[in-house]
Amino acid sequence: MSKSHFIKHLSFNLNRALVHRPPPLLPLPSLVNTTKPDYPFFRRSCFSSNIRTSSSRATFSSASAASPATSTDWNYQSYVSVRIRCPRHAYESFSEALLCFGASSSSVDGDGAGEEEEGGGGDGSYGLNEVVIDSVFVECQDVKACIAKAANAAGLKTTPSYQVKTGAQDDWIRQSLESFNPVEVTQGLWIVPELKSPPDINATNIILKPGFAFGTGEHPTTKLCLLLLKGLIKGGECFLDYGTGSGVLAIAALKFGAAVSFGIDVDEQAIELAHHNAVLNNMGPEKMKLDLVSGNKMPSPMGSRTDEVFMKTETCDVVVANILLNPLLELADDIVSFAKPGAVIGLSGILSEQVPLITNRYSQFWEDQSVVEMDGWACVSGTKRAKPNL
Amino acid sequence: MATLKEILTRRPVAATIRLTVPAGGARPAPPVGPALGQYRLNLMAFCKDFNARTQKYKAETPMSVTITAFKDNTFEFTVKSPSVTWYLKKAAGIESGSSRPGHVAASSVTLKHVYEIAKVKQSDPYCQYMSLESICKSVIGTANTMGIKVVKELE
Repeated sequence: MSKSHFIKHLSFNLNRALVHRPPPLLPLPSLVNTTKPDYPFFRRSCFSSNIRTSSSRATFSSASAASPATSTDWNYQSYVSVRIRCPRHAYESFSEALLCFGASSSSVDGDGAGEEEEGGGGDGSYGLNEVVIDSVFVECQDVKACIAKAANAAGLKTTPSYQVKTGAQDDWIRQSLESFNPVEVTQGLWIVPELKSPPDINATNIILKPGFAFGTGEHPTTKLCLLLLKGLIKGGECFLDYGTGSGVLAIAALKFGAAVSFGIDVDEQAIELAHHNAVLNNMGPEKMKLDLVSGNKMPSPMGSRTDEVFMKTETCDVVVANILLNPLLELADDIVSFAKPGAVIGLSGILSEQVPLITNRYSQFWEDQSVVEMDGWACVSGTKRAKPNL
Repeated sequence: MATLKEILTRRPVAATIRLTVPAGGARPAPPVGPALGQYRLNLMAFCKDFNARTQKYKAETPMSVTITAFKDNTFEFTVKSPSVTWYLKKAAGIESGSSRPGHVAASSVTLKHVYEIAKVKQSDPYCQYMSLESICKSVIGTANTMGIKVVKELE
């Protein structure tokens, strides 16, 4: 009785955040097969090998219909994780063939050439000449056909046996988020994840919620931008974070003494996360303003848009954009338009080798360019000219 | 794989992960997310790094990337340029190769296409030692197996 309750609980939660570890669940298969479940989500937990993917696919599509994968829901796109056992001599070509035939990824535990890792979990019955390959398929792929074709291409005589595991949606999210620790950017400046305690209470601590927007403080580009801000912000400035991600730079500017911070991004989840982080750091809406903008190239400075004007042009003393090379090149006019003449513009998210391209594009807008590099990443900054050099 | 052995002696490897990701489009979502998340790698760092390094390719080109994850949650990765077959399909304007290569030609590409493809491939780590001419020959060979004709000029 208690066992079936446990199964009911398990199936109901499969679509929620359930910590899904293969070893503890593997003992269940015998129960699964005998108790004839008919919960709608249950068939997704297919533990037996040689599963009939057609039946599982039908329920995948019904499950995914309940949670439509819109652009903002990409975190919750369902996927299938397949564990395949493959003879050691062919595993490299087999894993590459998998990618050609529809798998999104294939990973091999351990170095593959040496010892056997425990990667298979509780199964424990691997022969020494077998390698386990973990593969992720986006749900619309036909797993069985793909594996068969890949085996054919790799020259295997028989189709390898495989197990399909349910893609517990939030499991990998939680695993990656667990790895954040407090980071010391420089003397007296720490970035602390929400649930951990700051190592140094007296230092400037920026508290962030770990999430999927960029800017946790560990990346060299974030550090470069923070160091730039620390040197620049004296007090009372108006700051713009173009591509704010988690909002870390906007919050840092306020902590250093800026009067008001603006943050814009094209990603809705980023803006939500930035709002949350602003609250965590006690930054009210009058000091930190965030806006979601469309991803299309801005036609001209935002001040001339007919819809509600979020910011006027030429209002900011410091503008920082930590994105990627191509957006920086395309949106140069827009980024520069927000800065007052004489204001400092800082750009990052570029590799050291990409600096010349930035220089070429921006030299008409600014002067006194300086470049700071860290770990192969660069931060380029300059002061805006009063009139662009055409 | 000499360099891989160096890495192995330096740090213990937790896993080797192969992925196909569109250039400039790495996001912490499936398929990248689950594949990397289970080894506790910093997803955002990988996405940023990968996107920055693939800026020079046309957006959304599927790149194959091999990530070596170490036990201390750090990682290294190498990005390979898209496969020759993918380039040929794009150049010829078709979705898939011919069903009967050698007998039925699906489409055709010019020598100029072949030359351009070979130039891109030359920056691939595995092709650097080959002369441009031999890369061109292997591209033509791939085109033949796909049933794509190579012509001097478009008629």
